[in-house]
Amino acid sequence: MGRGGSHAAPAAASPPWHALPDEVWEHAFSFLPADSDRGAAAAACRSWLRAERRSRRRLVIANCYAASPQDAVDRFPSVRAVEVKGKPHFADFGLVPPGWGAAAAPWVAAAADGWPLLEELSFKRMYVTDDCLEMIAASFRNFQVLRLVSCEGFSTSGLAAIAAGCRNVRELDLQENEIEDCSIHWLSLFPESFTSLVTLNFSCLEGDVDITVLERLVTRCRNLKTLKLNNAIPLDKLASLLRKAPQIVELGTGRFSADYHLDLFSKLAAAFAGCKSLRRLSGAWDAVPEYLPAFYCVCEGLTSLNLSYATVRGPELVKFISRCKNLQLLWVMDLIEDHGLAAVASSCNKLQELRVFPSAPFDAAEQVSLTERGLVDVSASCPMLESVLYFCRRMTNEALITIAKNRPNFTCFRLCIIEPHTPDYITHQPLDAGFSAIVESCKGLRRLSVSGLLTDRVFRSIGAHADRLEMLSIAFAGNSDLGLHYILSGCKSLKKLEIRDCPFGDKPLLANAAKLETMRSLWMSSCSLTLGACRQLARKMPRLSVEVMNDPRRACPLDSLTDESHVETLYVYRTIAGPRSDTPACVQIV
Amino acid sequence: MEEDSRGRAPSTPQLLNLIQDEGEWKVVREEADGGRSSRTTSYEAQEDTKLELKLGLPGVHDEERQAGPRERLELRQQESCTELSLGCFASHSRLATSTASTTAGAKRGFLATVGAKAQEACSQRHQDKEGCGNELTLGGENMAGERKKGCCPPSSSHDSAAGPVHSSSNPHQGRGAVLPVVGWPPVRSFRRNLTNGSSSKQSPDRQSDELGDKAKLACKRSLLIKINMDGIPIGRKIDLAVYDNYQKLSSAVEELFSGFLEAQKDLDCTESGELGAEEKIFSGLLDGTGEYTLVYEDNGGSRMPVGDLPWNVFLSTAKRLRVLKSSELLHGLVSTMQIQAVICFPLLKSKFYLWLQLCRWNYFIHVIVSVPQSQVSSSFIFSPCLFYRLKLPLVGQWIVDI
Repeated sequence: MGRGGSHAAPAAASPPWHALPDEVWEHAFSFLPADSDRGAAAAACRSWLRAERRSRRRLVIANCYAASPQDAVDRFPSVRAVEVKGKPHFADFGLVPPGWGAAAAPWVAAAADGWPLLEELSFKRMYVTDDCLEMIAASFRNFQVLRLVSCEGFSTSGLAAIAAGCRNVRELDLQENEIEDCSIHWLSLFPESFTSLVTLNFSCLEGDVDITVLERLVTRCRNLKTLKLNNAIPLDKLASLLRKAPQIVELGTGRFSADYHLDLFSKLAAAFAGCKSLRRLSGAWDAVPEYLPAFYCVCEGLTSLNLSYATVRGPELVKFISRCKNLQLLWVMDLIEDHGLAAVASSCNKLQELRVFPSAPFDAAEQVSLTERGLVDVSASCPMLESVLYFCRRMTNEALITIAKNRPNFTCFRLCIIEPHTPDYITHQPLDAGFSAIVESCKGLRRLSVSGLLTDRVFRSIGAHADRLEMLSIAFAGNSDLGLHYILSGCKSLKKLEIRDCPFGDKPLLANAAKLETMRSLWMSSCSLTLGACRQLARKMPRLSVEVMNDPRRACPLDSLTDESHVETLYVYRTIAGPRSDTPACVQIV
Repeated sequence: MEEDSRGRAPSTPQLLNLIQDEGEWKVVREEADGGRSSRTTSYEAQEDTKLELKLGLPGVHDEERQAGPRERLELRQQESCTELSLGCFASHSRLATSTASTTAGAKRGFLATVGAKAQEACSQRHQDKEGCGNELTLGGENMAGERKKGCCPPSSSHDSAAGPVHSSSNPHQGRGAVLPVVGWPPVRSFRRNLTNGSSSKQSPDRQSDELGDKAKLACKRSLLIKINMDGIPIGRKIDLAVYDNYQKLSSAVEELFSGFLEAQKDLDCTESGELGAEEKIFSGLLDGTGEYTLVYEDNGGSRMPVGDLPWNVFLSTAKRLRVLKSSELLHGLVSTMQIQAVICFPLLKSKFYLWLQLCRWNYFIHVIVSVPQSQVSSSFIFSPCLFYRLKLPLVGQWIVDI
């Protein structure tokens, strides 16, 4: 079976396929785009396994506790790019206590040891310390890409280590992290000879940045394509930065508000006019409407617009967005309102992804007029729309049915009605019919979030029809165990299920225990689970890790609790690494 | 403090009695399985007494606490300035006394903002699914109220699963009441503060009256700021807008970090003084008498002990909170202030920013500037590339000792 040595030129026929050397298989596998395909190939036979794992260059560890870092390094010795994800998704909303885990340090240590040629490292929702960053800077001589998404635990000192230590870094992409500001001028630690930067994103940094240093950096990095500034960069500096980097493709502006001055406005407009390649725009914190026209000259070319921090409202906003005829991605706040969305929908027909964020999510009364109408209009006018995240305060079944009929090509549909248990506001019925229409019509739906008043009926539809569904988020829905049972016994492709505040109990969990091993993870919080069921589940399925957490502020001594005691939060995931050892006191592994 | 919290007749007997006490809601839990609950109520009572004892002038201390030699030194220093600071402390204690039985029984979610909103609320635990199912199919409003959840209920930390614990909040706020539920709606925390700054910045001619009111409301909305505690690597966030005085803030800070400390103690397995130890740590956060002191940082990075400014001024100036070991504050490192007048001091290099160790009593700033090599203790880890910009305030009297 192909020991690596090639056959001598055969006299007659080429060697039979099963005797081809490994290099041929490696080359063949390089055409497989998806990791799952590569995994499937590796499972075919030993020689394919060998060829595949030795040639794997990109690795995604979707749950950092599913395998140990050493396992990953041993199995795939030639990896050049790694992405590791840690905490469950609900950590973004504060449901996971700090100190829960997901430390990046073991991964960095194992990588430093086993993958010295590593070029790309990406962490999502993990706890990354300054020590980790220093180790990264010191261990990988060809390190090029660092991407940290929703991480915490590090400070600008760590960034300074990266800047000073990584000679060849191309991308420094910090998205939505919590970065401690240590008053270090980390930007100035990029050496004067350093010119390889292609992406610089420090939009989540809260502290000040030395503008002159930034300007010098931008000037000498002629390949800079993505520059995302933080909130501390004032508007007047933006113009000068843009003049130094007219080749920029993706821009995150800093603070986009200032008192209106004509000369500042013309400077900005001129600077933007020079950016002929600008395609993606974000930032715009506190944007004031008077300055929006400065963007007009780039509108035609924009494909991606993220105004989700721009608390600007009124006709200027709509006028601006409507000029972006080629827009494919639009993230905006609900200040755009229904009429704004309707206008946008009619002008931006190429829209593929829409996200509408709430401007006042914790407010009592409705203050913006954003309702189901906006989404219906967009779904009707944008034939390529496939991904939606929509926060609103009211919805009807009829609207959802219309949307489903208009757009059967949804791959991601996330609707969040801000107040839990909100029924159809016209008929006062649960929204079962609406969401059922969505799953029945959108055969390719991969991600779904439901909200509003929902009974078990909707889960029956989801279980039966959502065959491609991979991630499902449920909150304040359902009325009995049946709901969960429908989901777990249906939904053939389900990978991640997260549930909060639903009346689901032990029975469906235990009845569908085997399903959990086909999924990446299950999160259930504030449901009706008992400790006995968790213990039973853990006994029955040894390859699952069953984590239980009650009060995040107290230690959780399980031994003293009876089987009937209530479990507040359950997090179950499959793992080959056995129970983890870094749980905080409030988390217990059953 | 909690506008949302109102008393209502619990539909399932058992659970929370709400006792209105000076406008504050104090929760006294009555649960059938008494043992633990009585422990917790007595804890609250102890907490109350602890809080009450903390009030008063700095010279007055809790006799029960054993003060180490360092603390004694601090006492003496404070006492020497008692007359100077009398005025401010009196006002401070006035603030505090008005909320005598403050946040007793407040169990907060680990997002103090949302948790505090329903501080006396504990989530309902529906033991029977049928009952739960029935309730859930009722109208939306009812459900909204009953589903309030401040944090994981204390009952779950008890041995037996206590019965459902009722929310103390009134569900009938009218449609669309603000829901103090942890993590709902599912937006990232940095989205909370977005409308604060902006609505006040919007140009007046664009603002309708409605928006103008909203701008005022916006200021009351969440003021999430970071808070770090010495010895705990992970920082937290706390919403200042939820509290209206320093006492509540102090208790909230205690709530935030007590779990951590307890967890660390569990790891150390040293003493089993659960309640007592925690309280000792956190008492005296505000007046500098405790093991830790609460300081805040303003825009310029200056650190000052919390408690001097009137509460609403504090709300707008404080950008960051820290819980520092008081012993480290002793040598006066309460704040780092920018040196603007550094040229006056021949010993200090004006180019580099030095670490200044400063001692500060409220409005009168007593500055001890020392040569760096001779002083050691600090609450930061100083490394060669860290430098602090130190700013001396223009207001107030300051004495410099070199």
